[in-house]
Amino acid sequence: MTDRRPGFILPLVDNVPVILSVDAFGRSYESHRAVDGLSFQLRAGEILGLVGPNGAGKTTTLRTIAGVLPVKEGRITVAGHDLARQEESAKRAMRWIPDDPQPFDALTVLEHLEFTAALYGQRDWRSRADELLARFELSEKRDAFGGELSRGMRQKLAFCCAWIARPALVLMDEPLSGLDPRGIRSAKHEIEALARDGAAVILSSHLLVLIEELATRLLILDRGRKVFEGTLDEARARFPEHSRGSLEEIFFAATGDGSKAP
Amino acid sequence: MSDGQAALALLARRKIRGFWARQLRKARTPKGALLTVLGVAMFALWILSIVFGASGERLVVQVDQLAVLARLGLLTMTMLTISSAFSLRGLYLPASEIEALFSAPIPRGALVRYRLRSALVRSLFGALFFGWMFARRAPEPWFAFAGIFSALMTLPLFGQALSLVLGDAENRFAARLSGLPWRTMSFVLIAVAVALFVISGEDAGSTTSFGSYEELFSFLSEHPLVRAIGIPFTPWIGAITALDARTFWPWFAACGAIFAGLWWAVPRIPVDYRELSLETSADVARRLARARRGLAANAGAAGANTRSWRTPWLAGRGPFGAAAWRKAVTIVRKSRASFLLGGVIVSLVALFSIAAGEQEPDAALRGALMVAGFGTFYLCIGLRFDFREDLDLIGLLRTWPIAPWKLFLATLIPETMLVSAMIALGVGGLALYHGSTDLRLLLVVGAVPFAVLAWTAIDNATFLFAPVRMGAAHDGALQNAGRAMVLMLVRTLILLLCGALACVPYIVLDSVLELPALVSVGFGCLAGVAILCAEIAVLVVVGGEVLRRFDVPRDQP
Repeated sequence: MTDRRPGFILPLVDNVPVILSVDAFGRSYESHRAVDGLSFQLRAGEILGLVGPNGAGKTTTLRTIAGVLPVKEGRITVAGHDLARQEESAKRAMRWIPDDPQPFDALTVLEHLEFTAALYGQRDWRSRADELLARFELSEKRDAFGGELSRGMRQKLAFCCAWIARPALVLMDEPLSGLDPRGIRSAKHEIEALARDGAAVILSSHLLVLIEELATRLLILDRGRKVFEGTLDEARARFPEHSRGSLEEIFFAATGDGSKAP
Repeated sequence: MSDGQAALALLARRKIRGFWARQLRKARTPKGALLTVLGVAMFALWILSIVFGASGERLVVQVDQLAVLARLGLLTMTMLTISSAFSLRGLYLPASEIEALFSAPIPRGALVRYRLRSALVRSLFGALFFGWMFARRAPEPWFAFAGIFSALMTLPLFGQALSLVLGDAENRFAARLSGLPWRTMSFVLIAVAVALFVISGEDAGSTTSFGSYEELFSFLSEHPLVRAIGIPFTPWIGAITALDARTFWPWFAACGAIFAGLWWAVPRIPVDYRELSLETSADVARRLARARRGLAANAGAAGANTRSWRTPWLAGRGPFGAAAWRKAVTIVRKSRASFLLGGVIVSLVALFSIAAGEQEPDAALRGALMVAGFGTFYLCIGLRFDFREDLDLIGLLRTWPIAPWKLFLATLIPETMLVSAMIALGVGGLALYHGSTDLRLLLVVGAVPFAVLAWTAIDNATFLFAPVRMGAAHDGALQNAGRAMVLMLVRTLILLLCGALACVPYIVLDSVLELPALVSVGFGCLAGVAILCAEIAVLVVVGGEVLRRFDVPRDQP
């Protein structure tokens, strides 16, 4: 079965289109094996919480899906396009928000949105830009240069740039860093709204409370390997000693550090 | 030695070891090893060529000439030290160290001594080098070497004392000093100094022309101002110009005493340098970051008044147009100084061409070729609005939905247009001046964009292939020098080959087939342009492939 959206022909799982498919993905740095044989799928409307200890391979996985790193092992398909062979089409369907977004210092906030819209072929950008700037409380900063923005504002601008082209897949690495409490609440609502509108989201963070709150599914990595994939309830069933436990307890159980958990 | 001092000594040793370890790590790959070897060879050849000169003979000068040379040399170095003290106020410590060291239980005097030791280590090479240079010209080489070495090793102590005192003065009088017109005052001071030099030198001889170096030295050695400014350098001048040990040792002892006195006194200067040091450290870190990104350390950010400037979307509103537009906006908003410098260079070359051969036939064409040649050379080397300022952004660029060769071309086009426009203006000005309607000038102007695009494509492909960050005396300085050597060879070869291939059709039509001039020029130009386009296409594809192969974790540490 397939879903024929404009520009995409997507396979369906449980009648929901698969936006991202990662199959036997691996990556090595010199003698270090960063990711080994990773496979998973992500459907439209899902928020996948990607967690793992430092060096688990989360950022390598995200950066490879985003196109920053080349696919050397395995196969990654984004919105039906093979990332290695149809790179441009695959990239057109997704946006990447790194942990410390660096805007262009000579472009204003509004010009960042104008530029991003052109880059991703979004024609009716102006009204959407105004709407996004208002939603992320950046309207007053529309004429500020990227180099003049604080850490939190840079993060909000990265959200606006990601949202403007209505992506099918959004990859986020520690997306709430630098945001104030109001910004955090607003960002969480926006991420949920984005998923409700049919986008697939991968959320990588060490803030397990955030993952527990937003993610519809979990992917736990440890030393480059997948140690768990599924919902929080499935995780509790997999680790019965934590059947009522939080994600933090499950995380320590899954990554083999349960004895060290406080 | 206290714990704090022992920790500082350990830090200094670890930093030196870390520097060499990083050099070795960079040389571990075949590419890094090749660039390191070339960089070391280039550096060694430069040093050897200066130290031993072309003839390898010692050129001894008279003692009074040596004294004048030493006085002016030491004055220059002192002025540089004073200028540096103005920009590095307080106690300069790198941004990575300052917070940890200021919050550590280390006496302030120990921190100052740590900084002094670092400054002395950095000055060591310069002191040895200049000492050797002077020794070659001195009647008594070892005395001259010791004098120069001791002077150049004392200057960092003087500079640090000045930084602390100036910083303290600024802390105390900041409110009163901030209102003063410093720039105007500097110009007035320089003008007064020049006027004083000219007026006070009238008794010493002519101030307008000298028949020989001897006359110039004679004038300078008798000039009262030169003598006056030399007074603080008396002990070192005495040691440098000493002809026997009895004269040398008292002066050298005085030099040693001044060094020891400063070493003792500078850490005891009673100032709290912390706030200014933090500002200085942040300022230097910002300038270094800009230099690492390939921009001049003092290049300005986008001017606030440029906020409302609109840059046209010349290449449309697709991904290609967006990439070219971003670069064009950056150039328009951040390169006012570059515009000015480029305009000055092109104007100077045009003026020089006029002065060199105004009456000669084909003066306009010769001038246009000069402007195009020198303009392309200087502007392509000087302007870096391409991947060389985007090294930290390559990870982001890689996520854009655009083919690498398109991104490569889109990034280079705005800079190509800027350089071509400047050169076209210069050639146009020359044509107006000469009243020339020579159509060959159009050929020159038309060829410039190809040359500029080829030049920047080669430079950027080489940069992306071996992305060593800019910055003298940084970790990558040796590889940078090696890459410059490779780049010079590659660029020269490829540009010559491209130019020669483009000329082949005209040569065949004109010399081999002996067709009429109009036909050979016309068809030669058309075929030449087609060949140039094909060559540019190949360079862009190669550049795109290098960009595609750019390994972010390895090449963008």
